[in-house]
Amino acid sequence: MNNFVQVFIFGILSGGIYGLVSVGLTLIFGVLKLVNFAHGEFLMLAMYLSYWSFKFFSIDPYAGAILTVILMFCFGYFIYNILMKPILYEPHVVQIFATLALSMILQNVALLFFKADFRNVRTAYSLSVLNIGWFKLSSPNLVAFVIAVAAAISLYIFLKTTDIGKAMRAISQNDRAARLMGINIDIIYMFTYCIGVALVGLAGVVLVPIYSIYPTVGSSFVNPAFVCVVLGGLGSVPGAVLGGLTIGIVESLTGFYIGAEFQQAAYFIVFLIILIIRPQGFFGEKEEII
Amino acid sequence: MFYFYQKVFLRYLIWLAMGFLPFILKSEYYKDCLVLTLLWAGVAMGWNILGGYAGQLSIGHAAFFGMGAYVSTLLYMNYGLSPWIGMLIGGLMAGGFAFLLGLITLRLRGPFFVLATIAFAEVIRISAISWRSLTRGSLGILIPFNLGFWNMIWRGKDAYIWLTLVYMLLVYIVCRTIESRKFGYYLVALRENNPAALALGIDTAKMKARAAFISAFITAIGGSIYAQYIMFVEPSTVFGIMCSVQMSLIAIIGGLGIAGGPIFGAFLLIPLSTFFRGALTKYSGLNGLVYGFVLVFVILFMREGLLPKISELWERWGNIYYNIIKKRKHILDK
Amino acid sequence: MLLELKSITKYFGGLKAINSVDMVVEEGQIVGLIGPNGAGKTTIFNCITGFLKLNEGKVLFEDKDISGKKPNDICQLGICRTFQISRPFGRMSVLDNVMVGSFLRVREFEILRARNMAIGVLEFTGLASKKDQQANSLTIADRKRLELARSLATQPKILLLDETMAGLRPSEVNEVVALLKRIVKESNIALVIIEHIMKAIMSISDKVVVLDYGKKIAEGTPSEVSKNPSVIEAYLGRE
Repeated sequence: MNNFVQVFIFGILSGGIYGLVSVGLTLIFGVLKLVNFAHGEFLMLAMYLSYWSFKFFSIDPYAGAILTVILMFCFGYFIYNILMKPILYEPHVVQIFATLALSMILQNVALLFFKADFRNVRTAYSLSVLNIGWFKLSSPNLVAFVIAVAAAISLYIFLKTTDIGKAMRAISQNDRAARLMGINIDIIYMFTYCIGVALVGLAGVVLVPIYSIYPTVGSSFVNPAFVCVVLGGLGSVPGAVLGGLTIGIVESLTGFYIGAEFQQAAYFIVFLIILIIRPQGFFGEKEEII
Repeated sequence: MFYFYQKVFLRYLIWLAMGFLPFILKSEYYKDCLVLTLLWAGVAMGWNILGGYAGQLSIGHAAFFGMGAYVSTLLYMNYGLSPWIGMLIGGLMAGGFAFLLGLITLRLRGPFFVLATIAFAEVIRISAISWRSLTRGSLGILIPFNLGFWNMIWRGKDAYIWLTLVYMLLVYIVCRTIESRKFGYYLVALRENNPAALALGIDTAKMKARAAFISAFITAIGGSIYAQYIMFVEPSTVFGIMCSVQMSLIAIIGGLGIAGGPIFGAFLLIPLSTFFRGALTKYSGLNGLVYGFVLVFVILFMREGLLPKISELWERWGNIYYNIIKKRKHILDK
Repeated sequence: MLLELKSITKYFGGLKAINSVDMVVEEGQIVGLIGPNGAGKTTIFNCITGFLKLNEGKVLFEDKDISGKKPNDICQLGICRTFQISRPFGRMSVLDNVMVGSFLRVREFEILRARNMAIGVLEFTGLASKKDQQANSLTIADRKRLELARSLATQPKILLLDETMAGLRPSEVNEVVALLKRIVKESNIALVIIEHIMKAIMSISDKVVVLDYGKKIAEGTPSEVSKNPSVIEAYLGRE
């Protein structure tokens, strides 16, 4: 029984991270109606940023978090204006392949310049473990979880209370009406995209003490992230977090009770199950054919 | 209208020319290039059935390619079954998976369908790596060099050129047949406008699943041929995302939803990629980088593909030329 | 009775988009369906043809319950609908568009037969000269005509036309009206027409059904309905 709880808790902690990764994705999809296949690569870039600041300037990942997030925000601005803006109103084919291409480009740039070696950041607390009762919690995991939840809650409050947040929600529900109400859609689109990238950048930062860094690390996270988004309901922030927790728990339990090799299959199976049972996810709307 | 006949004539000319290629090319390097080009043309045409005609973009077709490769190889290595039969079994298995997946992923809109296909291929790839007792995992399987027609193993590359040429031709014929029949019309209809297709009596779910089956079958056969040519199968090449992307890239560049499009795309892309792979091995990642940029360029500026663009330019120039001729005749007649 | 709607009701969340509507369509009959915007007319079409699920009530076609069937099955049975905003298969030619329709009644390989049927329909609807044009390049009037032709090609027993005449010039409207009259006369197909152009609807319909806020508020011959005070109120408001 102890094992179960331990595994379960680990699942929750890693689920928080999945949630953080997914929250940016669902936001971008909800507002811009754009699927960002390069999401994982932004994660990877943030991780490398954190790594290099640690290696060359001895900046602790957490300390440098704000800088990294701001840099990612700016990078998002750059990418938005170059690639995203032109394809916003294009058919799905174009959007999918354009973001897929971006993902390939970023991955290979990383491969070219950083080489394929696995990198790790070892800090004082990397291996520290918190003992609560019978359970052991890895500190970096716990910190990641706390940051993830804090970020998600802040985002939720932001969306509900601020004008920009309301504008974002309005656009996600009906972009034409929002435009007619005087909302400057283009600015909001850009802002949303940058926030989405910044969020996944934050996820990258909290992952650095936990996970190895290599050019294709993004794909390990982006696939489950997409599943979280679908699970939670497209465009729903609380949904993405809940979806993340679910995936984290399922993955953790699968890894322990069935076998580590099947962890990957786990999120795909979950994906298939949602599609069959409840395609709109936790908080999404049921879509009629027309 | 005179350029309509030109087009038909040109088409047959190209097929004839391709038939002569095995005799023209002498160097091993060019022959290897040709085999791969013809093979990928066929595989991409298979992909095109689902991705081009039906508009269901799959970036996970490597799952079927690899299935074909592994099934025929494992049956050959463990039971001595001829790859000619093994590839059909692989094809049916891939088709079956595709059909089921097609039915399940019905409700997924554009990008999420793509995701499902990517995820599927990933799961299959990782399963192949993990199931070491069956597949020898990342080590891969080396196929012993036993010559013979029934083993689909020949000395030299000429036989493979014929093999892949026939494969490509057959796939092309399948595509053209589908194109002109009810099934083809229905696929394009559901791609262009799904609700309208439903309103006209088309069972879009069944059509998509059927297209997935055919597409996966063709791709898997390509995978088997690939295995027998390279004589080595391992998960990251045959199940990898680069494999999936290459298939779709060839079809997109060449012309989505056009039977001959992928052929054009393959002849353009494969020799280039083979060259890059050789010339740039020092810089790992450059291959993928170039691919990425080419993809962005094509998708932003020539979304329908190169072949339609060239066709369009051809028609436009043909028109101008035609009008000039007409004017000249007019003046002469006066 | 060809088509019968028995007390159909459809909710969207808390809103009753269609409130217990009854309607009957006989063979070869032309029924006009009118009402202010948002009254639920297109929603009724969606419910009949399976694009939306009914919450209550039944739809009977030739005395068989078809509620809950999928749109493509319903078309197969003989009910075909057009869309308010036309939905051509953009990258196919006009002929190919109509062939998609005619393929329904033909087997997999009978391409020539489907083609000839399609050409026949194109000639009937006056689009034959444009048969090789890409559907994307058509004018609005021609798109609507194509939509009509495509549905005709499926050899329906009843056609549900959703604002086929919206956005057309008066001369074009007259053409469509004449075409519709010919369709009914020559093939005995029943029509249910949603329209806002009163002159057209009143001149062509055998009977008119009026909807307001999801409820049927009047039914009768065109002249009866046009004099009905609740109808006038629904459109023009109370004095």
